[in-house]
Amino acid sequence: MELNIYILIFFAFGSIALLGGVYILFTSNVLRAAFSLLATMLAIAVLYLLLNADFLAISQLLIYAGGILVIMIFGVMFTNRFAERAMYTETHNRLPALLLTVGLGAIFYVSLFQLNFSSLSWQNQELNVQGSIIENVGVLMLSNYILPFELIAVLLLIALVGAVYVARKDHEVK
Amino acid sequence: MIPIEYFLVLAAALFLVGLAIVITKKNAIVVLMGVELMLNAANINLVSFAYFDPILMQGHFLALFVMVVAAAEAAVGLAIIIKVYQYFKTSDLDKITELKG
Repeated sequence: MELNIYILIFFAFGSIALLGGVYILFTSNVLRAAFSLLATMLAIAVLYLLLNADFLAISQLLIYAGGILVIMIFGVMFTNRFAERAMYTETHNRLPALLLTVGLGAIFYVSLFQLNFSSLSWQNQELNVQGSIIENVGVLMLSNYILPFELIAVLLLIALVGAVYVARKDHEVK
Repeated sequence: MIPIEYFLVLAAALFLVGLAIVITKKNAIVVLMGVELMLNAANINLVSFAYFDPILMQGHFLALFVMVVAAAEAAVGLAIIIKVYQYFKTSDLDKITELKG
């Protein structure tokens, strides 16, 4: 395997993504965990670019880094009881988590390294992908995938109206 | 092209980290972060396989729909967390024991 620039980019941003996740696991400061999750999401967007998924990379930036992270930081600030003190979280269930993670990881990696991906026929097909995939995404979204597209739009509307309804301030408590 | 195994190994590691966060953390918001991490790990798998499917792009679309559902889940989840915080004055999952049988 030759060491080209794409492999280097993959290792750089893959390690940023993984370190961001591991930092959430080991920090107890909730706000730092949120910003670490932001670093992970940005690194994953770069990984999508490496996989020729430019539309998904932009969506990742908009939805995760721009939307979900902002909502989460709002949530952290709304549920912080002491304004002058940073918000900390405790841990529990350490031993079951370790056992479950190691067991599941053993299953994942043993099965992953037993597979021989380079022998699969679709792995070696000629791919002539050039330029952006956004045009293809737009055509497919309004032809092949029109039903899930409409359903997801309705689901998003229901979820957002429901979120506003749940979080509203009600004066008479039933 | 980067071998697909690299992406699968990274996605498996991210999924395991997210699972460990969901199990060990007590704060509800950090648990939601762990769920987002697991969803992203699954998305990396989908997109890395969709690289070999440039005509139909089924993996891309499934990843896109997963993203939208994750956004809806985060919005509703945080609304519930804020409401629970107003009632119990805490977002510590061990102290919210009202529904315990």
